[in-house]
Amino acid sequence: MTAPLSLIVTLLVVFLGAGVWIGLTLVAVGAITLSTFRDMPVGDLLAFDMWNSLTANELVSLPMFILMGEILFHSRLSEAVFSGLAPWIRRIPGRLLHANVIGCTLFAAVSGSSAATTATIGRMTLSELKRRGYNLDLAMGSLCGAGTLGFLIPPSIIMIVYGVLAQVSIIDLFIAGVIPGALLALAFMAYVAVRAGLSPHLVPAQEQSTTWAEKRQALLDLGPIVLLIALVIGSMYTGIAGPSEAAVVGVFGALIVAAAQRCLTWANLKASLMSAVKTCSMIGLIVAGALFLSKAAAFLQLPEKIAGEIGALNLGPFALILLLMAVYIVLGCIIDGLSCIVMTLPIVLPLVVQAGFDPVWFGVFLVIVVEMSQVTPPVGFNLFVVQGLTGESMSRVAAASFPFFLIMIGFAVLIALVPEIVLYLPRSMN
Amino acid sequence: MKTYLNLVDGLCDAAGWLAAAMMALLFVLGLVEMALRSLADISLSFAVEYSGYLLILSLFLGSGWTLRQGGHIRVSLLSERLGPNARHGLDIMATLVGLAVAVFISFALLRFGWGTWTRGTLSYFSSATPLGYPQLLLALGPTILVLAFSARLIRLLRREPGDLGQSAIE
Repeated sequence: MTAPLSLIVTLLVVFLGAGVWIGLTLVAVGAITLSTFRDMPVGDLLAFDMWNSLTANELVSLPMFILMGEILFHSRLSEAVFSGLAPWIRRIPGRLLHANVIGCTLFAAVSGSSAATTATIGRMTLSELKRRGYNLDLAMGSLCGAGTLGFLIPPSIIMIVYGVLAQVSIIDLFIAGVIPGALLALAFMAYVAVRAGLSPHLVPAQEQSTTWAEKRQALLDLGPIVLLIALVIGSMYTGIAGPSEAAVVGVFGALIVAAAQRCLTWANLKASLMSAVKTCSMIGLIVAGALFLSKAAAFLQLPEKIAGEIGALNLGPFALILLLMAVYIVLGCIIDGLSCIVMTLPIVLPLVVQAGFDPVWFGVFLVIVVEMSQVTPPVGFNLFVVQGLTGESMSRVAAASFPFFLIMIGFAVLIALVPEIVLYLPRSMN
Repeated sequence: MKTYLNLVDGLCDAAGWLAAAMMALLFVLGLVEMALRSLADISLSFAVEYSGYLLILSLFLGSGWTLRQGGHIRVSLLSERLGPNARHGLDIMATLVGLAVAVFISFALLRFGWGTWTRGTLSYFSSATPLGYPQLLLALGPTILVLAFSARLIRLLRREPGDLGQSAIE
C-alpha cells in the first residue's frame, strides 16, 4: 500500500473505533492526509467544495423526500395500508405475513429510507400479527427483510447520494431500481409462502372472511398511497418532473394525505420537520465529509494507484464483484449502509468502471449489498427498529432476519450474472 | 457554567428551528415555482439559485441541535465493550476530536464567507445576490456545532449524559 492510503486507513480505523462521529472523521482524515502529503490550503478547499457541491439543485430532493417520509410516518398511512391489504391476502399461503412485504414495497415507493419504511409498516403489522397468532420470528424477519426495499425502490436517499458522488443520473438510478425491487419483494413473498406451506402451525388456520363491502372499503384505504406513488413516480417517469420537483410534489401530496386523515396538526408538522432536520443534518455532515475525502484521494491519485494494484491481481470482473460484496458485507456489520458507500466510493467506483461495469448497474448492486447491512448485527438499523417495536433481543431479531439476508445475497449474485435485470428499464427509457 | 450550558442549548434549539424554517421555505419555494410555471407560465428567475442556498442551510444549521439530540451517527462497537470508566474516557477523547474538527470546518467556512463578503462577490445569477450573506449564514451551522461540542465536553467532565437521545435513524 502507498503511504497516503496506509495513513487514511489507519486514521479511519482509529477515529471510527474511538467513536468519533462519522462525518467529522471523514473531514479529519481528508484534512490530515492532504496536509501531510500536499502543500495546499486545505480549509479553503473544504469550504469551496462544500459550497459548490451542496448547493446543487438535484440534491434538493434529499431533504424533500426525507420530509415526505416523516409527514407520512406521522399520519395514519400505516393503518390504512394494513387494513387495505388484509382482505386481499388472507388466502395466500402465509396469509397476513404478506402485509409486511407488500406494505413495505408500497411504502418504499413513497419513502427513501429503509429504517423509516420498516418503522412505518412495522408499527402496525407487528402487533396485529402477534395478536392474531402468527409466528413472531417470521413476522419480524419478513419485516426486517422487506424493510430494506426502502433503499432499492425509488425514491431512495442512498441513490440520491450515490448519484451525486458518482455523477450518475438520479432518474436513471431510480428507474433501474424498480424491477430489482419488485423481484426481491416477490422472492421474499415466495419464501414466506413456502415456509408457511411447509409448517402450517406458523400461521393461524384461517382468517375471518370479509364481505364485499369490506373489500371495497379496503380498496378505498389503499387509495391514498397508490395515488401518492402515481404522483411521485409517475411525474418522474413520464419526464414531467426532475427528482427535486417530484420530491416537492411528494411533500405536497403527503400533506394532503395527512390532512385527509385529520393528522395535519401543528404538533405533527413540527415533529415531522424536526425529525427531518435531524436526519438531514446527519446525512449532510457525512456527505460533506465524503466529498472532501474523495477530493483528497483524487489529489493524491489514490484511485488510479489502487486500480492499478487490483488490476495486477488479474481478477475477472465477476470475481472482483464477489470480492467487493464480501468486503461490503463485513463493513456493513459495523457501519451503516450510507457511510459504507460514501467512504469507499472514491476508490471502488473507478475500479468497477474500469472492469467494464455500468455505473448505474453498480449503483443498484451497491444499494442491494448495503441493504444487507441494515439487517446484520451488531449495527443494523432495521434490527434496531424492530427491536424497538417488539422489545425482543437483538440476537433473536437478527436470527429471524437471517433467511432474508441469504435471499438478498442470492439476489445480488443474480443481478451480477444477469445485469439486464437492472439495465433493461433505464436503457429502454433512454 | 450552568448559564453557559443553557445558553448553548438555546442557541442549538434556535439554529435547529432555523434549519426547519429553511426546509419549509425550500418546499414552499419549489411548490410556488412549479405552480407559477405550469399554471401561469411565469418562471421565478431566482428559484434555482435560492433553493441551493436554502438546501445547504437546511443541511447544516441544525448540526449543533442534532449533536445534542444524539442524531449524528458514530460507531459504538468498541465503547459498548468497555467498562464505564474507559468508556467515559473514550467519549471525552472522541468529543475533543469532534470539537477540533468542528473548529476546523467552522474556521474554514468563516474565512471563505468573510473573503466573499470583503470582496463583495455577487452570484452569477440574474439576482446578483451578494454571496457573503448565504455563505456567512452557512458558517453559523458549524460554529454552533463547535459550541455544542464544548457543551458536550463540559457535561461529560461533570459526569452528566452527553446526549439527550439515541442516534438518528436514516
